[in-house]
Amino acid sequence: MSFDLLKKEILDHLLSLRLVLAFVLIIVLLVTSAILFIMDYRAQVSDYNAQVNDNLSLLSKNLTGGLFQAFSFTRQNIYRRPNPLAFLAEGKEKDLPNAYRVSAFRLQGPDYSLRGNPLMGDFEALDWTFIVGIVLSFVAILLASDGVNGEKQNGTLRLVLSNPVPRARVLISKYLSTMILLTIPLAVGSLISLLIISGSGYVPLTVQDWAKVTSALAVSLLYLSIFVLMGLLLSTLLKESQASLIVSLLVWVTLVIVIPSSASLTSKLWYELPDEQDVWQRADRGMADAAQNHDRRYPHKDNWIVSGNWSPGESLNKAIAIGLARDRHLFQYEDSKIQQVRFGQQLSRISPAGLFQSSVSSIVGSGILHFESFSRQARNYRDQLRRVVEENYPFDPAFPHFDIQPQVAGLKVDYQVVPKFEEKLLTIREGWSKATWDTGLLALVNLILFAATWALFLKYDAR
Amino acid sequence: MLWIITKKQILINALSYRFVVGFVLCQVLFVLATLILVKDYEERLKAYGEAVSRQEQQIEQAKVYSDLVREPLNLYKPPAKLSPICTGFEKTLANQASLTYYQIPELEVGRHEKNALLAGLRSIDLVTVIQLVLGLLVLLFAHDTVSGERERGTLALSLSGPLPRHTFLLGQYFGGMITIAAVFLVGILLALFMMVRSPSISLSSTDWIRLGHIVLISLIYLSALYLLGITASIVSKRSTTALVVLLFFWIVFIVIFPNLTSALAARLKPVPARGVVTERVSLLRREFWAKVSAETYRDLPRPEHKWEYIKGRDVYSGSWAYPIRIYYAPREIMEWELEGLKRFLPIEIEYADKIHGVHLDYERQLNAQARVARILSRFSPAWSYYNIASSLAGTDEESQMAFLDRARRYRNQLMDYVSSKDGLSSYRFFSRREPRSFKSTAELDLLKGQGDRLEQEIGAGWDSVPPLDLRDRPPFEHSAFQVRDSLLNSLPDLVLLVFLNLAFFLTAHVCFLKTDVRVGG
Repeated sequence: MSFDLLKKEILDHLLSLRLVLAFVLIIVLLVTSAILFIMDYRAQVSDYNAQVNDNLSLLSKNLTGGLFQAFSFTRQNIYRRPNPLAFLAEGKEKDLPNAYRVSAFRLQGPDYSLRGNPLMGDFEALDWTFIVGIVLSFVAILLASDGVNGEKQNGTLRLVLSNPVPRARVLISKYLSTMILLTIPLAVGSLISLLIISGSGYVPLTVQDWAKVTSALAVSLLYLSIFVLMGLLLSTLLKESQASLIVSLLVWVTLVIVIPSSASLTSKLWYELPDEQDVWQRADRGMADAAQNHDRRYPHKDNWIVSGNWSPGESLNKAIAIGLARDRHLFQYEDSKIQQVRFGQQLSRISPAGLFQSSVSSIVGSGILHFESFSRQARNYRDQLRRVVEENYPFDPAFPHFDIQPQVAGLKVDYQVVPKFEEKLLTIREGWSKATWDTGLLALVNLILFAATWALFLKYDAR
Repeated sequence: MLWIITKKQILINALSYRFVVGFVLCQVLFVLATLILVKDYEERLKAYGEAVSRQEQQIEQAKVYSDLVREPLNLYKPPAKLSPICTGFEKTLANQASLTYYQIPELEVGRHEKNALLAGLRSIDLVTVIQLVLGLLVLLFAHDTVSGERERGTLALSLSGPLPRHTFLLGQYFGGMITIAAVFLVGILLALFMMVRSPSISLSSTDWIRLGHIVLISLIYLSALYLLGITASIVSKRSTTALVVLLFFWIVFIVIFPNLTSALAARLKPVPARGVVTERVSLLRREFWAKVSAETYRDLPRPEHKWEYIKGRDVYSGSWAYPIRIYYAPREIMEWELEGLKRFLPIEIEYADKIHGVHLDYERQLNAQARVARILSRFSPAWSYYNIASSLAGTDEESQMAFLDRARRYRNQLMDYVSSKDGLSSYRFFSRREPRSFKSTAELDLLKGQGDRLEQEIGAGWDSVPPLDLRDRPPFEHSAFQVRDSLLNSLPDLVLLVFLNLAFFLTAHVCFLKTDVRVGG
């Protein structure tokens, strides 16, 4: 009986125009997005490789000039790696900075060296989060919004309920049928687009990546289920199917389009950044304090010097202390910028669309999360370079060496000894641990909506 | 007769569920959005005011001409008063331009806001609400104008009398548009009321004219969608079919399509990654340094001097003849520094132009790409509408680029001003002393023995020097486009919207003439 009900529901929808249109639209979108992604990713990878190679050849050239040339007078350019899973959630990475300039003493940036075009307006990439988050959720609410009252208007609900079927079963079969109908285009479309992506040979997907894709799909279903339940709830709540359709569309547009779009404004208003001038002043003060501390600990007649770089003759420890003191303030400032964006995302979590977006981008490790992890790795890399300098400096690092300047200046470092920067993408485990809350909340919303729909449907007057 | 039909349609709409829900929702959205947008505008205005006065202070303290043209001089674009209505490119393009004699303002990424990382979040304005939410509401209103009446049987009744079909159609159109206009106008009036109440927004008469145009264009946009809705409603047998078709039109053309345009434009007119510019610029810089060190470093050895005779010397590099500020120095040093400056500065200016050429080349490519995106975006009436609105609000890319152009011209003006004061090729660039009063090291040696004569000669230092009188410097004014120019800039979009109205109306009319008005027909 239960299966009959399910079959009936599916057949009901199967003949409808909206399902056909939705099916075509979603598959076309997923395929288009895959093709666009491959072209985009190829360009990004070739840019990235070219830039990384340029940097390495510059590094090996600078190393021939010795320790100071390579670690103090020149900067390396380090780059964020293109994300092979950007087709799941691009996270507007094109508009986020992707590079730093780094020496053993300073991290400068972040810089932009991508293909983003500021003259083209503020659009999103056509990725899965967009297709599922907006288009499929739209279809979900369209399919579900007349599920109960539509049948009542047709008179079939009374007929169905006159049989010895529990109401719960009727409701569940309505829910499941819609979910199945949504899963089919999603599954078919994503399968085709994954085949295109992995078959193209340009995007190497690892086992981890597949796990991420599967997790993202699971979260997508959880998200879509919210809209199906919302549609069913509204169609039990309101008498006319037209009314429930219109109300649910307006609710949808608010939740999915309006609320996530106000994230940038609201975060700016409610998360105040420290004043930039102040930050620079504090950084300068920090530098001066560090220099003084050093001089107090290691009094020396030549300790007066503080050049912008660490130059032959200057004390190594002092240069390091100054660099660290300065960067500490700048890093804090950058962190607060990242936090402001995160705060905006958190605000948009009052909508399931916000929850979905942040959950998928956590799993994929894209957007601001990607930038954050890149920024952390860049800072670590600066420390690594510093250690190389410390290990390769045979003189007393606490004191200046003006008397033996030529020997100090002539120090050489081997190319092999220098660690090379390579950004590591977030692992699936990190992604999951970050996505737990969002996914949990998505599940909770599902439960609440289900319970509410159930309660209403049990008392529903089917006449 | 037309009025009766119109009235009927208004009443049907006004009593319907969708009107009540749509009305309430739209007003709530308008009010909330305006609340945030006005607050945001106030913050931006405050930041703008602070930045401008900081810059003024910096200029007022200038003591030599190098302070004016060597320290980055920042020009700011005031936030557009109508930016809460349509934010446009206000947030993606720079509202600040930095210039020095060696640096020309460039189109930059990520410098526009205090936190450039916010580019990772989406943003909203009132026009977006109209574009998306009201756009959806219009389609919800329109989908059953004809098919709904046919289903209820009232269509056949209405047309059984001597009522011409076009009158009926016009009545339906006006009735619907009046209801929608009511939702829209109440919303926009609420928004305007909140904007005017804010002490930091004072709208001039041109602003009101611009606003009037934006309201009108919004109505034209909504009308195009409404006519499309009527057409769909006439053509389809059932109103649910019409609704589904319209909803899919909405999601494809208004929500999805704009996101495709930039991706498509990037394919059709690819632009290399920004790293290319950095690379070419750093090559030019290297070339520049090679040239400079050949000209000023090797050929110009520093004359013999005593440090005790030099005071307040601020230079580019200790051993180069490149002065920034020198309070006091013996004649030989002064002459040496001037000679260096005369060689250095022209090269630096020359390379500023060369570097600018690289940036400009890239900017042209970006511009060409953006133009393709803009042409593509016209496939969606929603984006034609947005283009016109942002142009009227003074937040379109053209207004932002005009600011950049203006800043570039200002740099030339400022350079002309400084060179008219002989500030680029004389001592005035770095010193306030008259060349006549310069004394050689030998003369100073003589003074040294005579009590405090040397201290008197040298003086107290920079703090005792009054700032330059720069009141006659060229002023920087950013002027927005005239309303007429704004409209001309977006003429293709405007023509397109009007054309769509006509086309949809004609289609609706032709289809309606041939339609079967009977129930189930």
